Amino acid sequence: MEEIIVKQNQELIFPVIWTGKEKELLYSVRLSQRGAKITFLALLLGKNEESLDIKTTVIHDAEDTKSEVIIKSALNDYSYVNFEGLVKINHGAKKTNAWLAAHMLLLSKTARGRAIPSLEIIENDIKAGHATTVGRVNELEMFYLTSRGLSEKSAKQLLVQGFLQSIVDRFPKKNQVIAAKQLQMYGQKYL
Amino acid sequence: MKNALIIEDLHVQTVEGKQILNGVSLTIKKGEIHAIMGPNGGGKSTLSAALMGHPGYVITKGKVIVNGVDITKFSPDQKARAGLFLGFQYPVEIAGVNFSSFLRMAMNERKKEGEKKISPIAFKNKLVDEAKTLSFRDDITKRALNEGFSGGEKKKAEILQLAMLKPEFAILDEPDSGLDVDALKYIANKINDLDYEFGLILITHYQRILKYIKPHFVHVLVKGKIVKSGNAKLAQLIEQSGYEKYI
Repeated sequence: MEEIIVKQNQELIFPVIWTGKEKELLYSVRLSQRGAKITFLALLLGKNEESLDIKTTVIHDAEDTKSEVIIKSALNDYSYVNFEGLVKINHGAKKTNAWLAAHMLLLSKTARGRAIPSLEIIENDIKAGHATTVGRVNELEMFYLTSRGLSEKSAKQLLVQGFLQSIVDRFPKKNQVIAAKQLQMYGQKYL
Repeated sequence: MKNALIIEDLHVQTVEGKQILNGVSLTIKKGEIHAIMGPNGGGKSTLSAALMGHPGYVITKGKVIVNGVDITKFSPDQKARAGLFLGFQYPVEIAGVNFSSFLRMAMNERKKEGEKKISPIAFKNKLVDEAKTLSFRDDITKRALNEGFSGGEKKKAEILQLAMLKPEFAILDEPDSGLDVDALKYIANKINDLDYEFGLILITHYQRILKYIKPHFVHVLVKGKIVKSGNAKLAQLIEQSGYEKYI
């Protein structure tokens, strides 16, 4: 378990790129002092029979803290991602803002994704929400792209790229370069 | 036959098994414009979708032949590379996919083996030039594929793709629906100004667009069959008296 503590007025962007190596990724984030802010971004690229359990716990311990957990995943072949995201907003963490989102795109009939967000809220004066989707590649989008002459593989590459671009854009510059490379390799070799 | 799109006794069902087309036959030679008109539910959109290989339709009988090659069972990308293009009635919005990168990729993948690919700069210049003639702003190169486009822009973007890809045969499914007169003129002028010979199937509900794009042939499609074919005058007749007598 990786423990991250965010202190007073600290703003942390925490990027994660998974390309199949780890079986389990566990993170615990504590926003311990006023004004602490975390943006947790996970880009997950699954293929073959790779599977991942990814669990995040974000604890809001102080006033005026902000958390955003965003998981975006493309899963091909028989790969599987299980995401469990917990946000706890403790007593006294007023004016807290928490957002939890997980979106998974299944690229084969045998890939699977599961996303379970949960919120434990003790304080009243807060904002919190979550959104999860697990969906397949849209048939009509594929038809539109291939009708212009793109091969199925290229069309899928474009759709995957399009789906993941929004999270890559939020990575710090250095990690953007790494993410772009991984994404390109994933598209060329595994789609 | 070379230089022709031949549709032979085409029967089409939806994947759910509903019969829509009951034997449509047409021959479109390069340089010809064929308008297909008809009441709602007659099968116009099904014809265009099935020709391109839409996943919601199944060709149960008949053939589609392009330049002598039977493409009936081809996948949509193979059909595109064989020379077919479909201008969608409702273009699909795809978030995160850049319009310009997508189109350049499509252009390059359509090239035959050994053919030179278009350079990014040459492509961009060409796209911006073509887009201007359809009154798009320069920022077309930065926009996502149809996302955030107005209704009129989506329709114009279909014609922009046609102008860039230069297919041998184009099927335009109601390119005029939902357009104001100005946008309609831009689209019609662009189609008329394309500087190469191609065959065109123009699917339309109204005669309005045929004032700007003159068809050589007009066909009336009712209940999945072509019930009447004629020249441009047929469209005027329909404008006056409607489809009722063909139903």
